[in-house]
Amino acid sequence: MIRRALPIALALVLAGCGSRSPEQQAESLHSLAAEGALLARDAADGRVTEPFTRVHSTELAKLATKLHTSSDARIASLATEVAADLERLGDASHAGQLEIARELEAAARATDG
Amino acid sequence: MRKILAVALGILSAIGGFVDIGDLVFNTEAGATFGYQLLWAVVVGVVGIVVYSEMCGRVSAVAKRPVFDLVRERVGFGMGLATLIASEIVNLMTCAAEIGGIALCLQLLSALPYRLLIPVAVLALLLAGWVLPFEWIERLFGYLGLCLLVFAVAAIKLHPDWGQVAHGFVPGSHDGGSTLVYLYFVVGLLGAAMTPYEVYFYSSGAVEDGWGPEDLGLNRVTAMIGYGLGGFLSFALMIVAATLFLPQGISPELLGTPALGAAHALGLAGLLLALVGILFAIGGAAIETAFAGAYNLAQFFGWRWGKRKRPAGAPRFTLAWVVIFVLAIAVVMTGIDPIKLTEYSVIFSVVALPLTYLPILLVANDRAYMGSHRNGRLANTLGMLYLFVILAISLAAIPLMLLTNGGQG
Repeated sequence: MIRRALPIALALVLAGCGSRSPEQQAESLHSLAAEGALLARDAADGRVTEPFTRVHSTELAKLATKLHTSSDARIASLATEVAADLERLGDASHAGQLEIARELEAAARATDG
Repeated sequence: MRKILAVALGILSAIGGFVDIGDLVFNTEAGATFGYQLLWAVVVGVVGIVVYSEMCGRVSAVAKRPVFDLVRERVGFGMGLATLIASEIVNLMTCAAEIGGIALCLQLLSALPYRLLIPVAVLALLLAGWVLPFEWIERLFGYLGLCLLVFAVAAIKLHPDWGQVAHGFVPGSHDGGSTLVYLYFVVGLLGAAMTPYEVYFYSSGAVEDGWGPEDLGLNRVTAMIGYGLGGFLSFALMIVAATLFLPQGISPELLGTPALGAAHALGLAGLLLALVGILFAIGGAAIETAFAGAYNLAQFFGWRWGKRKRPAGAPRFTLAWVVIFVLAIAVVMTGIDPIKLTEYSVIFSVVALPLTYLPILLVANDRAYMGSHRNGRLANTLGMLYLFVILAISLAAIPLMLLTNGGQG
């Protein structure tokens, strides 16, 4: 019984813990860039507080940084740009927030292509 | 008049206390992944918690003893011990996730360092647990948790397609993701709605409040309306995520994301109400998990217990909930992501669900304890139906979590 169950359990674990495919990484990066753009627009419109913008953009940047090591060079390069934009967002001026929103929207579109 | 007021207050605190970090995470992720298509799963989960909470409250009111006390007596030491161990592990994981969530929420409000805010959160919870009377704990966290109603307003303001929303209440075929991920979210939503600590806390609370057979109506109303309306908060979270995040391809991975939804719809006031609501909803859940853990231990080993007693009057019970907080802080300080921990705690709580709900069904159906107040036909039919559902999802939970990489496909 245990001999039969072990390979199944191992297969399940391996299936679950396997590294993410470039398509999944592109989806993750799209999500981070789109959420960053939404945050940047809301920050520019005065809909969110400064602490919220700083903390949430930093957390999003940390997640984008994890995609730097993607085997897909295009995703890795876009991830670097998205992370840099998100890191700048916390201290950006009103004009800077709008510019970052546009850049992140462009990055989100780029992940679709 | 006074009785009606008491019922209304109880219902309000049940609504505000319904949502915890598991509901926040799973409802938002499900809405952002499958739109409105999983609203039916919330209904199934809410009916389940209503059915079993009503049974627990009835058992406590009639037998004047909490459920865990009777579980050990009814199912024996071995099965009782297995239930105790499983529930304590799940309680600890859930408590740690809630504490991490509180620290994250405080960080979003203040921008202070997360690791500094973890002990601050635990100290505040310890103080609240030590100083506040039982009903004040319920009311403070329950009423301020009502700020989460901001998500209902945000959901309306975002103008969802109400036809699609209505369609989401009917289970059926789905689109927008794999079947395995869909099933993973079904399991997660049911688990988040039917978390075991809720029934243990509810049943011990009924004993603490001195409920008797004359309170069976109050029990039924509180369970049905309180949890039922609490389910609306889950709908609101899912609708906001489905309307705002899904079209933009946003997969929420952070606690700030649901709050961003409220801010986008309602501005600064929406953001602040959402953060305060989240803070108190998960703060209340953290206290409930720690107390539920202490109640279970004390009732299993026959210690003196009760929040109404002074700490010196129930020393081992008091020590137990303090130790649960200390262990939870140790878990969170390892640096584990509270959102991931929430997902694990919900999925592991699903695995432990049969151990919680089977003994409750047995006790509520036992004439020796319940006399003429034992389960009727409706309670038994629903109880059995849910037991089958619980068994199925408890077997599927971990394989689905592994196969879908925690719902990420």
